[in-house]
Amino acid sequence: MPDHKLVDHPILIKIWVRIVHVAGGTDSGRQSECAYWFRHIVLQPTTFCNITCKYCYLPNRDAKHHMNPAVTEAIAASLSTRLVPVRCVWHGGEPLSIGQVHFRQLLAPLEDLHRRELITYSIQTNATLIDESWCALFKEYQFEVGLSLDGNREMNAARTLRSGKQSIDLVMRGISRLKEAGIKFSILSVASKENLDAAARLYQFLSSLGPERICINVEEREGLHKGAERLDRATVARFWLELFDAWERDPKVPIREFDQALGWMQSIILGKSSPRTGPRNMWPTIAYGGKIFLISPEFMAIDKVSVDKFCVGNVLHDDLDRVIAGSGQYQFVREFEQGIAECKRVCAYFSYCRGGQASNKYYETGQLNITETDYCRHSKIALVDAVIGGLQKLNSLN
Amino acid sequence: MENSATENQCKNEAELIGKVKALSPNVERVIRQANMETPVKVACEGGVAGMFGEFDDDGVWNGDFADRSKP
Repeated sequence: MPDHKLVDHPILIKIWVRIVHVAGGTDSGRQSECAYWFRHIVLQPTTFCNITCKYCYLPNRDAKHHMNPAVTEAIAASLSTRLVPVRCVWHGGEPLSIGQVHFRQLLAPLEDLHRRELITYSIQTNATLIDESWCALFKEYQFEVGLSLDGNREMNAARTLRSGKQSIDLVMRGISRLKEAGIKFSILSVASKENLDAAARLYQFLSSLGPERICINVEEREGLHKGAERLDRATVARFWLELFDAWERDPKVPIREFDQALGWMQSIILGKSSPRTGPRNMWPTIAYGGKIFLISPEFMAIDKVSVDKFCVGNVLHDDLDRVIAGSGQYQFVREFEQGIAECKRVCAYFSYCRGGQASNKYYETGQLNITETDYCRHSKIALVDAVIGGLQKLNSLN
Repeated sequence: MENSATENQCKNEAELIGKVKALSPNVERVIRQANMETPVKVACEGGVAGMFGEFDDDGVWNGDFADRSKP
């Protein structure tokens, strides 16, 4: 593969990214042993959120910094000759809080790419602002909708409106609007002290709402929330086991984490599990002002002193493909890759996890070149052990 | 409390793989009961999508940085 420094023309870079993508090849360039690409872009249309979750990691969720359409114009220009479809994940803050007029202004520059199926959309929303007009927009642009809800009123207590009231009534209204419009949705739940001891009831409640899929994130210590009290590991382990038991008895709604764990297990059983040989997906995140962050959207939540460490450019004046292709030049990327290599060397669970999450490593330890974190223990190791434990229990029941 | 959570934790990859393989019939049964066709299909397809890491929300085998549908 060509040296990064030689590939300085945007068209050549796009062709190179395409070749790497198709061939699954590796880069032997001087700066890194990896090639880099992306098939997702996380977009932050606004920093503002209309609710204040206790575990939120975003430091500027009170500020109303909205993305200017010039940013999506620049993204469209960056993607204009790209041959591989990209999924745009609208995240936040709360994306709907910018209002539909502004949101449509952000979508307009991407219209041509969307029409050519080179860009698709998903959105993660707290659902409190969903109404008929938002549903119409979701349908018009074929959005995949993920909404955030931690369970029933009691379990959802961490997700409060700015008034201090529970957000669940507005969320339920939003779900009703989605269902009336025939829009499929998934539910993302944070497992925290409010619901960790109620996994079966959590599954019952969430599945009764009719989502396409349930996703579980165990509460993490990062960004503004990095000083939070550690969750008890045994409690998290019991949560996964109880959730697996409840789901296995009545698997009417897929749970992302069990799909992943069982899919990984089956790939082992079928002998299809392969070592990583392809280019690395860099998950670029574009902040409201166009700044580009790599690897983890949570790096947008770092303090002002550290922002230079993780911000690798701005789409207003940098070509996204070129920035991604040059990822290996950044110290923090190399440190993270060192950590992944060490994970591979020492961790029994590497073939499932593939090296952990950069943001969790950074926020938990201040370093990226390390191995196991609480995130690993709670969201990967305890999960896999619970699924194994649940499957073993089936033997004794037979 | 810590011990009860870690007593089943595998010490090395071989132990983990061994446990998984020993559970093959149950893995297949649960996948079948849940109609989980997509991961099976993708895992068998291999190719580019099969090389990176774990399944993402779309049932696609995805990269080392895992899925980023975290809130």
